Amino acid sequence: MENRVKVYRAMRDVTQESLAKAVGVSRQTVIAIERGNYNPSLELAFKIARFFEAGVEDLFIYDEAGE
Amino acid sequence: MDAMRQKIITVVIVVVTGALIAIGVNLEITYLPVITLLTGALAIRLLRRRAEEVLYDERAAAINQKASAAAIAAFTLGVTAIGWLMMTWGTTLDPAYKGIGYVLVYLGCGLLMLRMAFQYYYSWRLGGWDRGE
Repeated sequence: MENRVKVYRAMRDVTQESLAKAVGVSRQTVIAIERGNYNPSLELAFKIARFFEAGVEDLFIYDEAGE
Repeated sequence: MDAMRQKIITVVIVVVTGALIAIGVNLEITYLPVITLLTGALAIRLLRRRAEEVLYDERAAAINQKASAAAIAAFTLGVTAIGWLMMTWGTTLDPAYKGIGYVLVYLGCGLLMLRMAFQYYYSWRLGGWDRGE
């Protein structure tokens, strides 16, 4: 699964730490998500999407071929 | 308290707890390992509560799950293999090895049964039984 969390974070000028704090996870988790090493749960994906006031599908792109 | 300081304190608690347990076992002070283990677990729990940053989240839980599953698999395989070797060829070295081999193999079986029991429990807790509805 690809994601655009880093892009949205850069667009809104949000640090990894403040994003982590806002959605209730560690900074390492945000780093792992941005690098594509960890796919967040549905709940966390929604929290991140709501934080950026975007849809889940704007942030997370399901790539069937890549799975 | 920041994450780095908390990590350092956690490592110190784990090392001290391990050392005290080893001392307790060596000196045959039966209550020392139990008290040390409980105190160590309590201290780590209190430390987690005092943390300002989130240190335990869903990713940490996923890591724990994978690490536990791998540890159980490695331990069961290792104990069963060593137990089987002791049961089969251990008697040539010492007759007592056969008994130890049986204990190890039963330990492996017990661990697998315990794992299966928890698997059924969590399967029920997190989904319920399939009643064909």
